[in-house]
Amino acid sequence: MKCRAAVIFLVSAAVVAEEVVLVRAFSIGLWHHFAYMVISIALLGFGASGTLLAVLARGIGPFGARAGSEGGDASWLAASAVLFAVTLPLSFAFAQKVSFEPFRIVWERQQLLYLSCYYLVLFVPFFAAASVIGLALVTESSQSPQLYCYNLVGSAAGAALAVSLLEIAPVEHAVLGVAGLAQGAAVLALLDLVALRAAPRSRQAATVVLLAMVGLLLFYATHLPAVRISQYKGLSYALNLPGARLLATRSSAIGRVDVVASPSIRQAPGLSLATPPEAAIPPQLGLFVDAEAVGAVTAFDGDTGKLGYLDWMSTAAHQFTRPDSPHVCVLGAGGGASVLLALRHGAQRVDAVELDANVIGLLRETFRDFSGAFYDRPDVQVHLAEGRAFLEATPTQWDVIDISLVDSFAAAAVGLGAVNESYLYTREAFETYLRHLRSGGLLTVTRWVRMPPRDELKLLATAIAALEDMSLRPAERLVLVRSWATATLLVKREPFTATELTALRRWAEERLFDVAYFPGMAVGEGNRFNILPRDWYAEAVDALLAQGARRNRFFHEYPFLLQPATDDRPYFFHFFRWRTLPMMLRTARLAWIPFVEWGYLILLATLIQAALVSGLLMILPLLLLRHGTPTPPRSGPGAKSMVLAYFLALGIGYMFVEMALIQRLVFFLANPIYAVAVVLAGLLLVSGLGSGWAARLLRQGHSERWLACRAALAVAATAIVYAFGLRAALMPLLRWPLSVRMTVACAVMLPLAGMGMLFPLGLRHLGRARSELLPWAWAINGCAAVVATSLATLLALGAGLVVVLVAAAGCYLVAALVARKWAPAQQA
Amino acid sequence: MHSLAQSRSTTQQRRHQIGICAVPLLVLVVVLALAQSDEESFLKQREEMVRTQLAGQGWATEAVHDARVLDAFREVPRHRFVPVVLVRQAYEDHPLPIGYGQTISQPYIVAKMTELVAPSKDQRALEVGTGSGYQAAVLSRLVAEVYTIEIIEPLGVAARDRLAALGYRNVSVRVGDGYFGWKEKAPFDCIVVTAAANHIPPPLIEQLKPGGRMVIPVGNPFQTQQLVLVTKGNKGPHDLRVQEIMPVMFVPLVGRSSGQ
Repeated sequence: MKCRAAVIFLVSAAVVAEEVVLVRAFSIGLWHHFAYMVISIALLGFGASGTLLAVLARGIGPFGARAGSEGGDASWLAASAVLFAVTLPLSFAFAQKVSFEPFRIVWERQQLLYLSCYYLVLFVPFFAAASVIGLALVTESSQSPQLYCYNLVGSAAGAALAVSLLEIAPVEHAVLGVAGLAQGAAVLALLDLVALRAAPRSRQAATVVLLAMVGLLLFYATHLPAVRISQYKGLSYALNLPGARLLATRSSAIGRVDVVASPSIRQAPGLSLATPPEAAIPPQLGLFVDAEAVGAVTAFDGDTGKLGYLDWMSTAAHQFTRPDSPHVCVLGAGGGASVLLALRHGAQRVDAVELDANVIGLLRETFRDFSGAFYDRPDVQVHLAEGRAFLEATPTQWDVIDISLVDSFAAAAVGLGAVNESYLYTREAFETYLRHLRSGGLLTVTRWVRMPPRDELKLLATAIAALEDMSLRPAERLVLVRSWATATLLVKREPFTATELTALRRWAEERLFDVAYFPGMAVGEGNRFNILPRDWYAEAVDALLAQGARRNRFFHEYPFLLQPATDDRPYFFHFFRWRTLPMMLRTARLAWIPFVEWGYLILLATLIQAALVSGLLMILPLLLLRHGTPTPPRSGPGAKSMVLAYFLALGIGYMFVEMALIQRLVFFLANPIYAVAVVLAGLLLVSGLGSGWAARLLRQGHSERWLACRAALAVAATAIVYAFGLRAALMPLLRWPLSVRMTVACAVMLPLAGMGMLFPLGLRHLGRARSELLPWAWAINGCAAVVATSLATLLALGAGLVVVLVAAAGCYLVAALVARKWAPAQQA
Repeated sequence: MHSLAQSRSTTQQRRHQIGICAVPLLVLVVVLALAQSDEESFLKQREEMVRTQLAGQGWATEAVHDARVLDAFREVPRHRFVPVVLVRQAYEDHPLPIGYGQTISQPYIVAKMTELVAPSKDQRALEVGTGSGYQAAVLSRLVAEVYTIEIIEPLGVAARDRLAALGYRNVSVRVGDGYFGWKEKAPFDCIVVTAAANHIPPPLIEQLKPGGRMVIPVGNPFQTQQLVLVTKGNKGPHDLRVQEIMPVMFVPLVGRSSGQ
């Protein structure tokens, strides 16, 4: 039992760590949405292992009903553990050989083949790992609460370990660490087998397998496969340029940062066509995060006079006011273009906020001389933080708050961010920014223009909503400047003055930029230099500034979702509307391209494929079991539907709570990586403790039914309370130090310990009542968890996090209702 | 007798020689016939492409109207500009990969860009981003001289060889950074930039003739979301007009929202 518990612990840790590492690898090589698409299928290995268990049950009888067959189970368990240890590094290596190019999938059938290769290659280790855990839990269902505790605590350790590994090592090395864990598990499983079977032949076989595994790991360690990066990612393109050299690479759990030198790298988004020759772009180095271009490091020798080009982009629109010695706050400082712009215009102090320590580190160390060490200047203060959280935690006010092009063009252009949450562009965020402006101060937000217009219009709608919430008239406080490539929104708390507007219009006219909106503009004035077939901006602004029915009609009829994002539904990048789908499908390939929002469609595809495969994986064990074992006479016809309802509800409910908590705590912990690590590890740990506690309570004589009902009700009640009260309760604590906030986050998860009790209690009950259904229950739970992950995101996008949590509560109520019907006679 | 035998043997030898020659000749004839039928098939595909993808107005796309542009598309063998393995897909309505993260744009986009710069026989055109050379070949049918620059050396060299082999004598290919244009041959009546850029290079604006037109796509290699057309007026270097053109008509979708 002890050895088996250790195997479960290690396999669980390795499998979660592998999942985290794979997401990172896919984010670098492709785009992370494809990561979820591929990994969701791989995770269905959990569902598929149910089929294997059913086959085994068919061959050697139901698990819970037999005794003394541990030897046979141990062989299968050891074989699965070895398979996991061997295929984990191999699958990663093979996956880097698959030349899948997602953009070509629309018209190249062979891309589907490559995608299937990913599924196949990555499925095997997850299937093997799931078989180890499933076998252990199902064969010893009476001990399932203790074993499940090891499973969950191991998973928690895996999540924490993966994030720690990725912080210190590139993803290729992190795989090695994870493979080490898997090998540890395999060794223990082999020892367990050898201890059970005293035959010298099994000892010899185990030794051979052991040596082979060690050899494989050593070979892998000396031939680490590099992550394959799609040829259509910015980094690949840059490295094809003449004289291109990769100067530096740094890696963390947030992302991989690369710096490339080539004389052909020039970053000046939407540079004016009227840029004078003296405002030439200085030499630049390309800056890439996860292999996508996110800006540049500009050569700077301290003479801001040489940075004239910065004045010829729409991002400089706020400079027309030129307050004396302003205090400027730059959110998402990155390569530092906005910081340099502020310095060029005599900023007295610049607060540069950047989440990725590696970006700052590279500029301060490796490229210190090239970049003129501007991050170390006394008038520049660097803050390693997420932008919104930084502002929420400080009482400081600024003359300018600048949020310019914080994501790459490539990601923005294809709508890949659709399902990502961002607390930077919500209505509440805009209110925060405005509250942090000094009298006369300006908020400036720049985004890439996409045709048909969407980002800039949603920004406008968000600013209008924020101003209205603050009881300020939006019409007098907004300006939208656009070039053909970028659009900059300026917002003030006070109305723009006539002098300011005159200066702004002159500034824009010199640069051939259009002022798409300014207070008191005349018809046709916003479509003079960058001419659209129709002035969609003017039409949109008209409708958005008009309140009531007109605005609502515009929101309803526009082909993209433009309703402002809120902290409850922080999906600024979600533009997809179902209404446009028939149009996209009906027209030629060309027609739907400008409308397609890849992120959402990939999520949808992920859900559909997961649901289809899950359906199959849930039916298979049932079919096998039907033909393999006779139905016990004692069970009623509704028994199977009860099993289905209970384990489906648990699988969905758990993932819904997990996903909603991650989203809520991303904001509270102000760092997506901490949030994922703390919630994933924390929730698993708390559930694991819950499972251990259940084992203890069972030993004290409590019944499974009593425990399961109470645990399910407690989780449901907590989910409801969190749905409506968690955000409000956490908001005042945002200014507390990170360590305290992390502790609070863990405390938030404690009442959810019951989540870890329900699954093993269900298994234990089933082991007594209908042991032949144990493999099926395992398959249902595994499949439900995968389907629920995409479903939770879709639900959050469509209806918000409150609904996700309420739905989770509903799932746990269903589980409580089923548990209530468990026959007392079948208890211990 | 001897001479008879000799003559027989010579006849046999000749027959043998004819036989030896006949086999490759036959193969050649078959290959030529196949090639001919292939060429005929490509010609048909090209005609079909022009008829359905370019000249015919789609549900949401505006047709290419310029008859000269359509003729150029009928003439240029697009299948000679795509990788061998993709020849069968050459005339389909989508872009094709040509390696190095680059593509040959879909026919409609190439045609629309060509039409937008309004080429005419006495003009000089600059192309930035030769890629496979297809756009340059199309332009060469419509203007007097085409100057094209490719930054990725292997692509540039291959395109130069391909264009020369196909007999496009009025096209000059240079391998280098197109950002600075082709100063020695400037000014140009039309400039076609085939790859999306984060800004329009100022040297290209400089090298555009007054009255000249320049077109640039926005998007990624597989998704042209928008075409930007820059027109230079006669009133000085800053007499510039930018038109943002969507390859797809957006108007039917927003028409209702503004009550029109």
